[in-house]
Amino acid sequence: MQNIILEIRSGDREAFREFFEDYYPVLCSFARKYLFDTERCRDIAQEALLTYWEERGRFLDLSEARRFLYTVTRNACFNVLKKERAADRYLQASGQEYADDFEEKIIEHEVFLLLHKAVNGLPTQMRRIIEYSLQGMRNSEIAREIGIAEGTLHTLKKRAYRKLREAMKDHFYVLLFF
Amino acid sequence: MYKKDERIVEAIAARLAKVATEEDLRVIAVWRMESERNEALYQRITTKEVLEKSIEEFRQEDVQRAWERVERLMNASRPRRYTFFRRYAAAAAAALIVLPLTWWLTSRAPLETGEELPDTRSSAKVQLVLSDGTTIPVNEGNASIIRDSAGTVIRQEEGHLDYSQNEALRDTTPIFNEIIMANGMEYTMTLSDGTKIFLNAESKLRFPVKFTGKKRVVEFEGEGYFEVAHDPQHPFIVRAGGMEVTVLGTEFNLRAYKDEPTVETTLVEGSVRVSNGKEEFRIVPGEQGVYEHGTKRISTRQVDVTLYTAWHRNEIKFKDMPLEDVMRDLARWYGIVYEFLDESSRKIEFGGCFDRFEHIDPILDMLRRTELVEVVVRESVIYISKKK
Repeated sequence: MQNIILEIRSGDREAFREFFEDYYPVLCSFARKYLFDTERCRDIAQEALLTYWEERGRFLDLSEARRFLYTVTRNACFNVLKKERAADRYLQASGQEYADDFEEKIIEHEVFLLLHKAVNGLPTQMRRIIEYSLQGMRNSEIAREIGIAEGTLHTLKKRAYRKLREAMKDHFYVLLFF
Repeated sequence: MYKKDERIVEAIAARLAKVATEEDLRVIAVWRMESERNEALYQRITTKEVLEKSIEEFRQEDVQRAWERVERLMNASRPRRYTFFRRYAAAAAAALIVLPLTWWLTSRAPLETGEELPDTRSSAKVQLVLSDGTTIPVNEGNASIIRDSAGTVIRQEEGHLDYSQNEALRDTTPIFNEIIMANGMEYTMTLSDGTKIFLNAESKLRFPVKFTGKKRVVEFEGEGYFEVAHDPQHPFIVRAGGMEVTVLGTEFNLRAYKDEPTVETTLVEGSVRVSNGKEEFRIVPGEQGVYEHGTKRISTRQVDVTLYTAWHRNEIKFKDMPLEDVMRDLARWYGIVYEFLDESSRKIEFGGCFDRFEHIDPILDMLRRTELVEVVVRESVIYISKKK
């Protein structure tokens, strides 16, 4: 049993790719909390992940790597902002509390990452059922959309929900040991 | 986000997917009660528009394309610690040498330090300017051969450029190349005569791809450690900001940053002559020739060579050094931005020895532990002031 962070640490590119697929969109979206420029955010997210790869030897578990990535991303955003309003800098240094809900932003993005990952990990039909129902569609509408009987849908939906919950439970665990 | 927050993340995600268990709901309820910030965050995350926007944002990213780009850069392996003809092992991290203030090592109380600093070294680049003025980045890509005019062959490997295959080129008018380094990295070169040069951050070297004529002349700015190939028939001359160093075959460190008041040649082995065009001194190992920009005068002095060549052994070493000089050096190497909030903190002298390839944090921590200065990081800028 191996921890994905340890696999990345040992130079495993496949493991890093898997990690990248999860974290790239998250970091893009996270950067957008600070900057409007979407392309800039993408560059920053890529740069952050590349830096993590280069510094992979420093990280032994997910929570450290995660903190590093969010921190590097935020600081890169700050650097862009700083150039735009260099004058603010001194003010903040001279003792004023800098209010940034960094922790909250991370939690928010981790929630959406987990949701996204768990739903996408489901088999196609189950995923469609979940997505439709998250959009607020009724069972009868979903059954018609997918082309199955409502009774079958009921069973499938129950199974999909159970599977989804399990996937969520496994998320941090899977990232740690698989 | 800390490890303990993983459970709440899982519970909220489950709640959003409408698959929350009773245990999830209980975890959420407790967490919401803990603070107003938690409650506000919960309200935010569970807002339909926020959820939809974020799912949309996830979907619109072209992960495949981003991955391809990053994968290319991963192959490039930007030079950091490398071993190319390094003869010394990396220094043990943060072994403190001088300073009477050794007690800080024992006071390991947590410090109020502001934010973590990102490692900005990685964005640095090394540029090679070919004879026709073309500029190419050379710290990217795997080992390769670069070709310049008149059959010049330059071997490029991780952190190293090698011109030694050009010795056989026919003598023609000299063709010059130039290497220009950004902050936060070091690089090594082998010139056509076999001379090896270790280049420190923010250095520039202009050199012929093959030495022709009686003298081997290069122009230099920044800091470099030179191991000059022995050839008494062809003196090796380095021109650096008003100082000319003439070498017959030796090892020395040359520091010639434009933003510093002096050019210093520190001799490790052999013998060199330093000159400003009018005066000339011969220096012996353990001595340093100093050229002052202000007076344009040259003098010599005895120095601790290990201090001036520490970077070459992967160390950051300073002794009785004013903080403003310490910070200037750190900025060169780590690519950090700093600011002194008062004048008096600039002059405080410090000493210490650190691993150059470690993060800057241990050094900042050391400064803090002396309790002589306040070091605070805000938005990636290091602010320094005298401790009141």
